[in-house]
Amino acid sequence: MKAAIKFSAVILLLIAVVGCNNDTSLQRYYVDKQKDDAFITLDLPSSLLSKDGNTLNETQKEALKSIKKLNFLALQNKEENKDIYEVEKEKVQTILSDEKYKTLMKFGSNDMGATLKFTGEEDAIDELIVFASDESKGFTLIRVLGDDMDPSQIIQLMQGMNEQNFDFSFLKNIETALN
Amino acid sequence: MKNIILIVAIVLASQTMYSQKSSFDKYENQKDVTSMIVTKSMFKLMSKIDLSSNDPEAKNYLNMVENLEDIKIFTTDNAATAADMKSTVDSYIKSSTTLTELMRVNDDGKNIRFYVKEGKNENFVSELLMFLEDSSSKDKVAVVMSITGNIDLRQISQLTSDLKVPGSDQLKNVKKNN
Repeated sequence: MKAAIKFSAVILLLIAVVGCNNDTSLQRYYVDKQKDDAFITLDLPSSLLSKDGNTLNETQKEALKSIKKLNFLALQNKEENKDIYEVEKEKVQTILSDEKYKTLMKFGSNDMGATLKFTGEEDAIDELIVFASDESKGFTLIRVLGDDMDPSQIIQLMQGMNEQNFDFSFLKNIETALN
Repeated sequence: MKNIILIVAIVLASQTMYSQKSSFDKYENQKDVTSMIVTKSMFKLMSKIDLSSNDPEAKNYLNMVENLEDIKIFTTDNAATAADMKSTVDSYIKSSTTLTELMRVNDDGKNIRFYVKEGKNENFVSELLMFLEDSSSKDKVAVVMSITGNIDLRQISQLTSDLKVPGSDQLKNVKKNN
């Protein structure tokens, strides 16, 4: 019996170790590419998004608190990136094919594709991932990182998303970076 | 100890079952096929969103959505792919003994066939398969839609029309025909 307990402990430990390794892969990919000039990256803590004196109600504030940050990564399919584009796209796809990234929706058409994935539970999301590609433009990876994000609260928060409550200037940064 | 082995075995078995590919998955990443897949997690998530509505119709709708496993829709306007889809659908129907034809509609050059797998009672099916062929159009258009889960036939037409799937109008009449 003792041996059995030891055995199962070892197995559990193994699962935990393997789990941890997987856990960081998308994060590690993102951190790696932050140093890579070919990529456009943006790391935005949610605290920077909301403006002082906003008119959000308690639920909306709570929803905002559950969001930690937004990560944005993009690689354009341009002449100078043509050697790495397919390789990098495949890398992201491989990472995302891990079972821990549960698929919500998938869309594909000729040269375009989009996948919506998440980690955590359906009513307590830890990470929401959008991976979209368009062969004429490039691919992008957007991650919303948080702690037990409740979808119904997030929906309410989205209703309060306007210029008065949020600082959308980061969108302009992305736009300039892409052009 | 035996219990532990049993649990591990069940978990492993369910995972392999989960990753089992369906006949239509090959169209997922194929060029000249437009695909849309919605998974069980999405349905669960949708049902978690409290619409704070007392509308019984909306509640029924959410209830139906929560019981779905997945929806897959593949569309093509390429003649060769359309023919391939047709043969895949036909061999899938032949290989399955539990799929029965629900109805067949010929409308304006469109040929639509619906197949179902029996569910818990006459109003429910566990799988709904639709194949649409439009030979009248210049390019041959074919649509395959597969829905699995606990499907309420009385409500499914609303979902398919929300998803803008062709053939939804025909599906609306399904309970009258039954």
